[in-house]
Amino acid sequence: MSLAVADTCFLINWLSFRRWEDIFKLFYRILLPSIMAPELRSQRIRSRVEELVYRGRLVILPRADYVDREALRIFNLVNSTPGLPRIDEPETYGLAYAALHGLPFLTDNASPKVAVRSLSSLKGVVVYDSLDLLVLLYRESELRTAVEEFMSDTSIVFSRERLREAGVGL
Amino acid sequence: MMTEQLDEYLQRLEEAAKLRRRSADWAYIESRPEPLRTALKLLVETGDLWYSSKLSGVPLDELNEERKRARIPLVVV
Repeated sequence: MSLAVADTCFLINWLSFRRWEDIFKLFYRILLPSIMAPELRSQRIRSRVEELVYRGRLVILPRADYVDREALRIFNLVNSTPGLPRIDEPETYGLAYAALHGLPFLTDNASPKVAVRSLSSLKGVVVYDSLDLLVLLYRESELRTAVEEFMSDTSIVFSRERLREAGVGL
Repeated sequence: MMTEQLDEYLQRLEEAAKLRRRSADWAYIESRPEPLRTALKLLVETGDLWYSSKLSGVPLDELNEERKRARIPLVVV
């Protein structure tokens, strides 16, 4: 895997993880849609993002009509399907870009993951959350340690079911 | 996704909401000025950082830092 599209909330939290640079063992470059960039206001996060842009590890994606059209289609489809969790506009744009270009989408929100598993038109789109990345990065006791560190650094909690599915017993 | 799987996801989301309500430092939340207080309460109920930020007008990363102080976990289901 060389590229991945990230959601802002995912990026903000992942950059707080002490091992945040390990993400580049999985992806050479992270793509952040420009509609999400204004959400990054804290100096600490902005500095880190600017450094990543400078190093060529993060690219801000320009807004494009063809992605907007697909995003609007997904937005309407997900939000009008009974039972599916609501999806946000920027998140939809990121998911649409990822779907159109065959790239994984990184988010800790449930909605995109549920949507790609539920809607036939999004079949095959890969959505990873933080736990998925930790599982891809680490094995056995190191995975357990990394999960504990991640939860401590970010105040993100993985549900018992997800931890069990990942084979992590805490 | 089969209906049973979707139901299971929705159940996990409901469990996540209960965990946020249980874990939250309500005294801290009530001590915050508006619109932060409402943003944090919205976050407890929805678990959606972007939505809570957008509706309240509190910047996303500021709300994220505040939710850590308020001990509101983001739950990945």
